[in-house]
Amino acid sequence: MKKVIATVICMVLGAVSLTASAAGLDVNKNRVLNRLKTEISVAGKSVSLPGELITQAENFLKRDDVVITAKQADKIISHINSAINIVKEAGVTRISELNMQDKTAILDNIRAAAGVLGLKVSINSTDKTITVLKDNVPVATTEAALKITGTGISAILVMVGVCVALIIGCFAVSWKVRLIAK
Amino acid sequence: MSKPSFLGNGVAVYFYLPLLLCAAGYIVLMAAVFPLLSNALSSLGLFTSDGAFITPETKAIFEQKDYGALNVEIVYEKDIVMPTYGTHYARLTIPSLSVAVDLYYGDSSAVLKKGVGQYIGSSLPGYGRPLLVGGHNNGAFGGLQHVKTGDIVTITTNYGIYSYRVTGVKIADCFDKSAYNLQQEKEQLILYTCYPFNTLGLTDKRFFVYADKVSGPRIVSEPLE
Repeated sequence: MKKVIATVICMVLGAVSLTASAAGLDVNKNRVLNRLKTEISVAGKSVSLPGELITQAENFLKRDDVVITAKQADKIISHINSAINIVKEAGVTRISELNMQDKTAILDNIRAAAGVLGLKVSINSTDKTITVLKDNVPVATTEAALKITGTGISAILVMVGVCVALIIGCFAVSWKVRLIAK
Repeated sequence: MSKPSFLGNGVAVYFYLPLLLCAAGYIVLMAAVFPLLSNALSSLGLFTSDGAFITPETKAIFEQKDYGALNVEIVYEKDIVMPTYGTHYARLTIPSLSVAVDLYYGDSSAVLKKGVGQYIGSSLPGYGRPLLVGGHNNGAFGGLQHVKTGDIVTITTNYGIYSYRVTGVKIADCFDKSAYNLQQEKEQLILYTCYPFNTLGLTDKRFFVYADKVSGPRIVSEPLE
C-alpha cells in the first residue's frame, strides 16, 4: 500500500514539475545550459562555446513547448561531456583544427544530444554551417549573425528579363499591325 | 562635294541620338520611380531568394493591445511567450524617420522580405542584453541613413513597450565582429542594413545604428519579495 501511495505521490510531483517547467528555465534546463556554458582549459587556453550559440540555446530552452526531464538532461549532458573530452584530448582550441575523425565524433554527439529532444541536425556543406531544427524550423545555427540586407543581382536580372520580353512583345505586335514598315 | 555634318550622318541620327535620348530618359525614369522600383525588386526577390528552412508562412504572436496597460516596471518570465523562428512578435518604430515595421524572431531571407528580423543569438527586449536586428536597405531600414543621435527607437511587444535612444552609427565590414558585441551586459539595440544605401547588387559593408535602452519593463524569473 505504501508503495502505491509513494508511486502516486511521485507521479503527481512529476506532473507538477513538468507543468512548472513550462515557464522559463527549470532545474533540468539550467543544468543543460550551465554545462553548455562550461569553460574548459586546453593547452593553457580557456575554451568555450561562442556566446551567440549559448544565447540561442537559452532562448530555445525558455520556450513553453520544450520540456526536459531529469533523465533527458543526464543524457544530453553526457553527450556534451563526450564532445568536451574529444576537444580536450585533441588539444586544440578551434574546431577547424580538429581532424576529420574527431569532427565526426563531435557531430555524432551533437546529433545524439539533439535527438534526445527530438531535434534534427542539418549541415550545409556549401557554407559549412550547422543548424539544429525542431519540426524543420531552426532553433540554433552557426550561420553568421549578419545577413544580406541589400538587393541581390538575381532580382535585377529577372526585372531586366521581364523588360526585354516586354520590348520584344511590343515589337512583335507593332510588326503584325504594320506600325513598322517591312 | 561637301563633307556630311555630324547630325546629317545616318549613324548619328539613327543610332547615337536615340541611344543618348534613351539613356537620358532612363536616368530620369530611375530617379523618379526608384522608390517604387525598390519595392518591386524586393517582391521579385521572393522568387529568387534561398528561403532556407523557413516557409513563406510565418507565424504571429503579436497583438495590438491597450498600450497604456503595458506601462509596468517588471514582467515575469512565466508570462512571456518565447517566439519560435520566423514569428512576428513585436513592432519596431522610429517616429523621427517614419519607420514602422513588424519585428520577427529570426532573420532568414524570407523573414526579411516581410519585415525586420532579429538574430536568434541575441536576446528579447527586457532581458538586459543586446538585440541585433537586420532589415533591407531598400525597404524598412532605408530610412536609417537619416538617423540622428538622440532619435528614439521603440519596440512594442505583447508584454511591454521598450524605448531605446540612438547613441551612434558606424559603417563596418560584415565580417567585422567588433561592430556588434552580443556579450555585453547592457541592453543595447543594434540595427543594421547593407551599405551604401540605394545600391543595386550585394555589398560587404553594413550600416550599424546603436541605441541604448531608455525605458521598458525588466524581465524577472521569480516574483520579487
